[in-house]
Amino acid sequence: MGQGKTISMERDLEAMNSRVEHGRERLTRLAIPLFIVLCSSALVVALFPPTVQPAQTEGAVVKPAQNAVILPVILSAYMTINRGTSHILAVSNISREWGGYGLAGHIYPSVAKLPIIGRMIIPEPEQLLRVRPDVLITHKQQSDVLRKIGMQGLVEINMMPRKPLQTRLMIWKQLGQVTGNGARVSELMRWDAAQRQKIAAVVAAAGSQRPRVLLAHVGNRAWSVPGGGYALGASLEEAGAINVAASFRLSGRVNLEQLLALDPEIIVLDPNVMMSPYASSHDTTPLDVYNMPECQMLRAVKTLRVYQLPMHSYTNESIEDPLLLSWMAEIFHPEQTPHRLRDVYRETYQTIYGYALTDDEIDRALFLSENSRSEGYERFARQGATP
Amino acid sequence: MNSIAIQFENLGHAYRSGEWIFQQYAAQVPAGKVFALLGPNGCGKTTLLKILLGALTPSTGKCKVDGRVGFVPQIFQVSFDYTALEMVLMGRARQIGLFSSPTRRDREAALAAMERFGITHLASRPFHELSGGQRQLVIFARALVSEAQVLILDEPTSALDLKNQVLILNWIQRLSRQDGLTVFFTTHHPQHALAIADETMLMLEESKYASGPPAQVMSEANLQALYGVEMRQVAFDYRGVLVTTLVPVLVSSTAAGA
Amino acid sequence: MSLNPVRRHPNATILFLFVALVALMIFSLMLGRYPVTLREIAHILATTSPLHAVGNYTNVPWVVIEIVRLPRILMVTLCGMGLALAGAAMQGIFRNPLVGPDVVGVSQGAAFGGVLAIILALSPMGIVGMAFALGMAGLLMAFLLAKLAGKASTLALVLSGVIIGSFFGSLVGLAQYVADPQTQLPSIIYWLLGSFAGATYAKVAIVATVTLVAGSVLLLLRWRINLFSLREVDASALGTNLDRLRWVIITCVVLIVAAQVSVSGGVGWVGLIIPHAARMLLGPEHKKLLPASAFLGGLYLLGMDDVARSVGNQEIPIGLLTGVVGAPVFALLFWKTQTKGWIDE
Repeated sequence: MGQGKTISMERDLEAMNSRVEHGRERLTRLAIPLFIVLCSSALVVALFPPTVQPAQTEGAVVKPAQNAVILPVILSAYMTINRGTSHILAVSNISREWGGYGLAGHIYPSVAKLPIIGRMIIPEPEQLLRVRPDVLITHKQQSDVLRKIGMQGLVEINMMPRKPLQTRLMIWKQLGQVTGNGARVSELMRWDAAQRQKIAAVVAAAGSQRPRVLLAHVGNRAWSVPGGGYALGASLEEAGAINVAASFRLSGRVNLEQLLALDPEIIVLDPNVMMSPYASSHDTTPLDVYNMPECQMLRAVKTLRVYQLPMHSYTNESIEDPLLLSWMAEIFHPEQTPHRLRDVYRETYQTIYGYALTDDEIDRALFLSENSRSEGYERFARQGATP
Repeated sequence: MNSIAIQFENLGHAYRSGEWIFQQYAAQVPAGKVFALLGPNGCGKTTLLKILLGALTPSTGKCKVDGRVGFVPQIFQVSFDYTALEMVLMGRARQIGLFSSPTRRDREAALAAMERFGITHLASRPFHELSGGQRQLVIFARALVSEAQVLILDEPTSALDLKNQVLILNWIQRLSRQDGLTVFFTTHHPQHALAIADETMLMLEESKYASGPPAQVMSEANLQALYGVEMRQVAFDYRGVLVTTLVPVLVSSTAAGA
Repeated sequence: MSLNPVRRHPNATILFLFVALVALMIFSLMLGRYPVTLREIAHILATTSPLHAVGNYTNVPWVVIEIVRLPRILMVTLCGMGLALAGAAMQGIFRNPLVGPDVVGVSQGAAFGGVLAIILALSPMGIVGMAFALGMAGLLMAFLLAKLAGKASTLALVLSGVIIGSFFGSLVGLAQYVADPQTQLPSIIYWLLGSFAGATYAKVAIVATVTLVAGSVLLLLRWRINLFSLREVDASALGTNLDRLRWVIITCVVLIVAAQVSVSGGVGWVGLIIPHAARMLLGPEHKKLLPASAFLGGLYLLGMDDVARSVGNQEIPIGLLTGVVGAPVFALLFWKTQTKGWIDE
């Protein structure tokens, strides 16, 4: 009998327990509605979003920039057109790093002190809103959110892969607008065209003599060759040579066997590591190459015709390309070249930048010491100097 | 009840290679009765079970099960440390809607089932901490709570110690006699079948089997044919009841010498 | 052994997590590199509803709150909830706490989709679409492969997923090789690292829709996921078709992951460690586990993103952050939980 009572008491306790549990159960059931409410609210806000007025007008830059923020790697071009780093509020870190390359960065040393705002790739809208630029130059792919915040003066750069010429022309036109220096841009384009014509004449005079040339980068004993779309590859042809790697579609490593098969007469070393993701950042100069035992069988090494490309930067091709082409023409067709490269350099920098290049600066730009053993390079030394 | 809970006729299944595991098997299990299936390893007991559960389609013949099926597997391992109550609740899958969760009724049914087996105190304990016997009871509770009418067990005692074996066997009988469940179980222990089964089937050979009431079917001759081991029926008096059991003949080497 | 006190009050815990999540969302509005005072925030929140509000671009605090921070906070919360839900569901149906959504080849497929879209120079919406499409394609291929292997068993699916995932991983490598190093490669790498910095309302709409639909389905099925602890035979005896359930759940998981990858690039580890943490708190029973995972996931990712966008001078790609933090956290959780027996089969 007592047992029966205990059992029924237990039952009551359980029933009570069960009810309390159930009450608490109801709380869990809330979880789904709460989740739905949260997601739906987000959806509703997203479907009827707040917007900014006035909306960003496509592309039109009304006044020349007074406070520009430049994110893509186009500083060299900007500095050339703008004659310096004035009116630049801030740049991305990679933009400043590459802006310091080449002679343009050397002439305007203030580039190294430009304030940095973020890295190039990830948009930082709050930082940008803080500095309030009147012109913001950014990559087309990253401008989505920047457009939405109503940044006036948004200039989108569209880097077209494998179309360096069109890309460059577009960028220069946009920069002309931004700096209010449209006239200077046209002037620079004309200069560029004129220089190229001179080179073309030299090349034509050289006749059918077209040496086989390889453009490459060597780092850590590994050779990289740029593929189709790399502008300097085309420059080789323009300077009257045969680009042995013309059929390469992609940039990448080549091994010794391929080098032997390509068998170039002349090798031009390009220190630009951006040409290929596989290029090592350790630069190898012609002097190093001449000492590499595995390269001794290469024809160009045996005849000491490995040259280091003079200093150049990115997107400043309108100025620097003719210089490089002149250099190439003189290397590929030494007899037919009437000009003296040093004069060309001096003239260019005087005309474009109003800057008198010193002999030391030209020596450095032409990598005289690195090229000192290479065949015929003494013609680039200053007159009267001991090579 | 005179209905037939389980029926199979001309049942046969073959490996993919064409070799028959068993063929022309037939049996009927009346509702509310206990049915034991015996056979040595590899004779196809598990295959037959799978066919019963509908997990396998037989090569020939058909198998009919009338009523909701509950399954108690032989070994049970869990990947997560559910509590015993959570395990039992899983048995309510049939009653709980697709997008629903257990209701109060489900919890009460689960607790009631656990109470039947006297394991309510284990409700909040993690399943993997329970002993083998306790685990088996939890699984029983789960089968019960699913309101199964036909209970299918795969060697329910093989992983248990003696005390738990007796416990489970008593429960099987109780479920059949008191709750009217039909129980179908496979076993390696003929004495268990003798003790609690109403009908037994011995899977002698590929197309030969013996079925009927256990006392009749599990003759010493049949068992020797089944297992290849000599067995003896032993009877003794227990509190006024005659208890019969089966014992395999094991002669110790010292005794043989002497 | 008695259950820990948190585990004894699961419902209170889940509610607490939700409230904490909403609180963090509001708090996150205050974080960022542009200085906005508390008063300005309160004013903006109190006076204007964001729906169809129009602000002037000179009202910078308003722009920062409504256009820069709000969509980002919403997107991060949704992604965090979705990924955690997806991870918990996957671990349940595979009976294995070591699996994540990348196991069925979805993340890698979506990653390749985005990379391909960058190479083809598609618009940002185009990137989202490609990532989504190829995420689903990755899943379908894994399904097909598993079916061809003859069985839809767990192991077959996981193996197929690994194969398809590796395949897409190689394609991503190939795409990086082919990409123009100056114009495309940097974008690709950024996208693979993952970042919520580009959050716009259009992207929020996508993620919200998918998370709402697929997430709700997963939550409604949450108790059923427990049944995967039964074997096929046991489950079918109980009238449950585990096969069909598995496909439905995996499809929801794929939708969620593909949507997330397509709007923000690769963000890993969330689907792996949050269910673990939730399991440590509340136990493995999926009826409680899934909602807890969802809210905990939202909290975690929102916290991570807050760090990514306010610590230091520059944005930290969130994929990096979750990786650097996620791996050690997972190791810790793994070690702590190994004292209980995990692995089946």
